[in-house]
Amino acid sequence: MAEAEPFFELRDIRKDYLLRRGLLQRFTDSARRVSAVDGVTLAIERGAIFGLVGESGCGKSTLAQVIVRLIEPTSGSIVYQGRDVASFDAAERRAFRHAVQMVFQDTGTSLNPRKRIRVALGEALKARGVAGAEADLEIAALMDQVGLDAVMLGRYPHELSGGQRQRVGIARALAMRPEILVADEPVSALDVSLQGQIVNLLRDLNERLGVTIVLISHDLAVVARICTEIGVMNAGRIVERGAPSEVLSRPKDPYTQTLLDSVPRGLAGRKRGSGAAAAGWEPQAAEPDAERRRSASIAQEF
Amino acid sequence: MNRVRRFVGAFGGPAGLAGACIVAALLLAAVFAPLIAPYDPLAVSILDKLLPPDDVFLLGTDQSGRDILSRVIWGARASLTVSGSAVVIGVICGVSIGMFATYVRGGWLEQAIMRVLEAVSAIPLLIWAIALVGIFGVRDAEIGPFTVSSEFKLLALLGLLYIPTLARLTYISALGEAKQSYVAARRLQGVGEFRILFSDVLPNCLSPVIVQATLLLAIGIIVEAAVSFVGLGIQPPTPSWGNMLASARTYLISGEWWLSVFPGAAISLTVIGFNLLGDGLRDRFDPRHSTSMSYAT
Amino acid sequence: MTQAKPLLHVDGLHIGFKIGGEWRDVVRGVNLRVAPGEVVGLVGESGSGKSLTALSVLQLLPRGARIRDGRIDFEGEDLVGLSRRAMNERRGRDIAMIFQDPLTALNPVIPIGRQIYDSMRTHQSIGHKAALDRIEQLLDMVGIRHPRERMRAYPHELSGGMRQRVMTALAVSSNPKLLIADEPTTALDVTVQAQVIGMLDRIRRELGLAVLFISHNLDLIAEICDRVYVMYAGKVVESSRVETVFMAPRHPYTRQLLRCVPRLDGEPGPMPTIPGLPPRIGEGLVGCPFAPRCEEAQARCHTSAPPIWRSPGHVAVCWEAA
Repeated sequence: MAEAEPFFELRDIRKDYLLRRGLLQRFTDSARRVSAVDGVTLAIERGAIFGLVGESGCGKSTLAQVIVRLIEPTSGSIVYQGRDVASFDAAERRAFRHAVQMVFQDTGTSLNPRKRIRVALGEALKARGVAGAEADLEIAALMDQVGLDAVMLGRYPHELSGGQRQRVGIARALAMRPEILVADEPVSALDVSLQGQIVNLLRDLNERLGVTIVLISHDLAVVARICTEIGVMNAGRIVERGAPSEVLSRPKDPYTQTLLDSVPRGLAGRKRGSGAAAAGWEPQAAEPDAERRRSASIAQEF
Repeated sequence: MNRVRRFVGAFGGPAGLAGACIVAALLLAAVFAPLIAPYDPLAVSILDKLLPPDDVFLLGTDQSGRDILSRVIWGARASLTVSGSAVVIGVICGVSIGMFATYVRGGWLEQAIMRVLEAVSAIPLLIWAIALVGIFGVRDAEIGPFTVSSEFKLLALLGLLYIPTLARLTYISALGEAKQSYVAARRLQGVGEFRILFSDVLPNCLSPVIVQATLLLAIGIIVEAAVSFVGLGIQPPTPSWGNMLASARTYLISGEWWLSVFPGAAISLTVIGFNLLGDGLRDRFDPRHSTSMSYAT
Repeated sequence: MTQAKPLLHVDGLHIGFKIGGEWRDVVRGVNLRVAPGEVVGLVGESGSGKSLTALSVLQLLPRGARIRDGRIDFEGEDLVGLSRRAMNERRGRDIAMIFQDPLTALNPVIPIGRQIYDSMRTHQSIGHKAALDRIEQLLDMVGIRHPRERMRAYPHELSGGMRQRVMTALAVSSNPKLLIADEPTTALDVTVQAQVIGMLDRIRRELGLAVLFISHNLDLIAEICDRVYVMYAGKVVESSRVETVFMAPRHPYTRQLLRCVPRLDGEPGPMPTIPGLPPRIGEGLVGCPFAPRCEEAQARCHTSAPPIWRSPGHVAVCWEAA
């Protein structure tokens, strides 16, 4: 299973944002940088389902956008199949663009409201150079793969439910024949009874098509279910990583422990006096973790 | 019953439908003026001058004996031509500039464009219109081998003045749309930025532009009337509601009310019509994508 | 079920929207009770009607929604059809509400202390100094440090969790008898969520409040509620004490829903799910609304509306409940 060279690597990725204050401060800006991603090094195996967990402001969404290259990192490199992405020529860059696709969180805005599903999928295929009858066949296959009825093709996004739109988003990403699929909070907006449908679909695609999946979520339990490996992110850094069973039962980082303690435990949590729920107070300003988290939430604003 | 409801809904409600009817009537009058007008609007007849409305001349005659009804109908043509063409110029140029500003986003060019647009729109439209027409004059201009008629000059100037509003509207809409994840998805497909702007972003920006264009049509009518009223716009004898009002000025006190009331009423009615239609369209486009189902249950 | 006179008694509530000229009901006959000092949960997914039910208590329904039938009894008085003035008095003073998004619930241009102050002075006769002291006390109670200084802060200067606390302080400032919490932690991170829930629990104990807690998160409900109503497609399908509903549910929807809740200690593998989709709003229903997705559905479930199965302190609307 271990390859000679890792499939997809992030090496010391940093993404900073400048806090713009005024004309003058533009030139004396060294103190005014905020790190959304503060040095992330990560290697993902081919065929894995990697889960990235963290709360808002931790930088996971920014990292996701760096992975799919919607955003350029301030420093650091992405290494794909042993080669630095920055050294790619135009053709390789194009191929890489198609190879890493994303499924977005907000199904309401992830599809062009004016385009019917058929058109949305068709233009994705066209971007890959597939058109005409061949495209029609592929569209039908894609709909089948994500479990959608062909009748939806003639509809507009607002005529579909959230879960259906999410499936279309996955189909659209699959149309590019990606190697890696980054799913940014794909089920947060869905009801719990329907989340499984999407999550299972992703797992299914991973098994059948061999697509490597990076699943980003704030929901530890979802990630624990289907991921082969998890990374916990806080304040722009990955503070812990490993197999789900390890991370959940023997966390090494205190932040991970806090996360685990905060997950509501239902009836078991009724014996109050356990975990963070007991305190009900604001986090201590002195604790370094809380400090990091607070600065991270400022970073999020930018 | 449902089809009626849907038809009315297409205009944003009964008010919008009323506006649409008025605008439609105006369009018909303008296009079919030669067929509808009972008399030649330029036909002078001193014997028939200043006749009050009666069976022969439904809206009376003016100081040169010309039939007011016919002149009002032909005036629709002048108003609509000026106003409509100006809006077309404004929309084409304004939307292009707005989209261009979005395309060059993030640099000094974007800021420069926005500041220029803001500067222009800082001065009220009417003042600009009168100033520009005053500067460029009302005679037909000679530019090299071409002759530019006064009407054309007016509508070109008006069109230019519409650009800032439409450009900024497009720009803001486009910026908002460009942030959406469907645009990001297109980028991931390797589609060029320009292509994305044109085929994905632009169609989603058009709704506010359409609404604004409708309202600008109304404004255009007023500007044309105002400019012609002060003698800088469409020159007599070509009938325009504005210059009809101008020549009716001397007759306000003496009691020949029909010279000013009918052109004035035409202006008011047309402006109301366009405004109703514009408001109706705005209502229609705004809640379009949110049905009442979107309330959290 | 409590024998004492209920604080809130919703009886046969129907709420609908007019779509295309016809009335479509989203809430189809909901009965629920809240006793003084009780914490009652209302759980359901999108389209269940739980938020509308909660909003209707305070007559805060969105535009186009109407209460078409039923009573909403508060301390013996029917709130439906109450005059606006009378309703305004009830709101804020006897019944308070906190919402999912504290950013839009708080006025962004007024410091938070001032917002609480204004609300208090509207609903109670209380002196200026006394009001300030009380505000400090309230902010302290909801867990905000340095309350005297923080009173001057604007909402956008606070984090989401803190804004939620402020909103709670605002809500309880007039000592209401009932607090309605509509998904108060949904927009918050899980660590902040835990703190806010702890805070809510502490407050309601200290003040003796009754709470109607609306959420789609079953685990949360299980943590702090005494009783729970499970809603599906506009109806209550099961209700009982929390332990009963979670350990021995009688309605298939509850059972299937419980299985879907992701557990940290669960087995890795495919996530359980309920196939299909809930009925579209306003869709005409024959038989049990859950039948198309129900694992245990029988022929009669599709054709006839299920009866109400009762046992002491437990209600389920299902053919198979017995």
